Amino acid sequence: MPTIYETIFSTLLWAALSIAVVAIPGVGVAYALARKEFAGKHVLSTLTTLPLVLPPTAVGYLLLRLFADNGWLGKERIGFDLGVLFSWKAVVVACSVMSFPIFVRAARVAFEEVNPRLESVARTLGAGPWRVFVSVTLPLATRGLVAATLLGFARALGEFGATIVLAGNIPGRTQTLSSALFSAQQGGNDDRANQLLIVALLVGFATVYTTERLARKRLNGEGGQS
Amino acid sequence: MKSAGESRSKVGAALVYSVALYASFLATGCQEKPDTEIIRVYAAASLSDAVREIGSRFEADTGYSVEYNFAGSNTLAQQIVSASRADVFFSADSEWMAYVEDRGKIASETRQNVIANRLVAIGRRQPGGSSTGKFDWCALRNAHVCIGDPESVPVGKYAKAWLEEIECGEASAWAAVSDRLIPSSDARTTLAQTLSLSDAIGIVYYSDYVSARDEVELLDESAVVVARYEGALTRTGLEKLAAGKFFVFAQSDVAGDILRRYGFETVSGN
Repeated sequence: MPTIYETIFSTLLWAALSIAVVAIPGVGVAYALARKEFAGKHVLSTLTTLPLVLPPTAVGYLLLRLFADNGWLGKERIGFDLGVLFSWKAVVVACSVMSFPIFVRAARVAFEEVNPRLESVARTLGAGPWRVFVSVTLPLATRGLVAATLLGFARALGEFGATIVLAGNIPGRTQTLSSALFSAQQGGNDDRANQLLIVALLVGFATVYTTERLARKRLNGEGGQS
Repeated sequence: MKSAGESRSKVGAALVYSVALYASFLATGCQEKPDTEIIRVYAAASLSDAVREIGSRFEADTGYSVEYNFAGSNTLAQQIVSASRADVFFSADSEWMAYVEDRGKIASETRQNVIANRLVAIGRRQPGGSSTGKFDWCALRNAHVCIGDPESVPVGKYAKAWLEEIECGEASAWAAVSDRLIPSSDARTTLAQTLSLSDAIGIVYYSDYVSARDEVELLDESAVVVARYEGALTRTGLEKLAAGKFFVFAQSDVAGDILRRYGFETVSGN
């Protein structure tokens, strides 16, 4: 039986891994939505938001069907076992899918706030698109992207509905803070439930507080200082 | 002002440290045993503490390892159907056990009622002492009656059946309270709601009452034993000696004592 510290630690680690998985495709999609015009843009925008409005357990069931032994990514279909179901990888998959929309929405705003004139100036000075993105757009959007990362991280930390379906609630293997809280509450162990609740409150507060601070600094235009 | 490189290397160091810590936690956390010695028990979340205690007792007695997965019975059933990773299944609901059985995932011959429960009426314990005398459903004055949703949640369905049996003159107690109901998603929520209202009674399982004994008062008890948890070995569990032993142990007197301590009742005559 894992201690409360192990549960906290695994939860933090999985949330961090999830946001690491989300970050690169998330930045790509957010940048495309903020700066590019292309066919199907609204469809893409809607699709990326979908996990935000669907019940998390429904997303969990979709993922479970996808990774099921006879699902599209199941061992009977692709010939080998990806080892996702009921492992820590399933936690990361579920948390990634659930935090993707929130990351993309916040990152998109971060890119939209970058003045396009600065980018065109860089282009007229001869910088290629990649160079402009890396040396102009990305640095100017940094605070917003950090806030997006923290928000996505916070979402992943509290994820429950999709995780318990895809990864289960296996103490010492896939149990997160949320699912440990659920077990304690459903099992009638109020003391443990209260302990976990306090921890969840503290971790959640710290994350949201940091996000707020970063967002404020950005609005006050203190971007250059640290 | 710190340079970006410096803070980046700090982040890197923290990351390496975390991964190392995690690896050591994994290494100490679970001694890898052969698969045949690990029993994977999927149990309804309301059983989590009791089943865990039974499991540790079994581990101590036999040296096998027990791994648990606790969720709603519907979720567990879907998981067992999607991927055969469970050895033993305890469902709070016979419909979900049937769902798994219909899809050929459990060994039907092992399916049986294992744990029972009883409905009780509870109220928040009042500071001024407890009420005395026989509880009278027909003279109920409380403003709210908290129950599980009588349409969809087992505890609510049982509560409705219970109150329908109680006669209050021409009508039933159910009819008498039907305009004061607060339906919820499960017995634990009903318990929390009852405790949050000063003028409410709630209908929950006896095990819920036991978990909150200090705060609630037992008002009435149903004579009928309901909510039979069903247990079964899965097809993979049937082929595993350890799983069979655990399943038998879960129905032993030792396990029965543990269950009764949590307010459950064992099913006799199996």
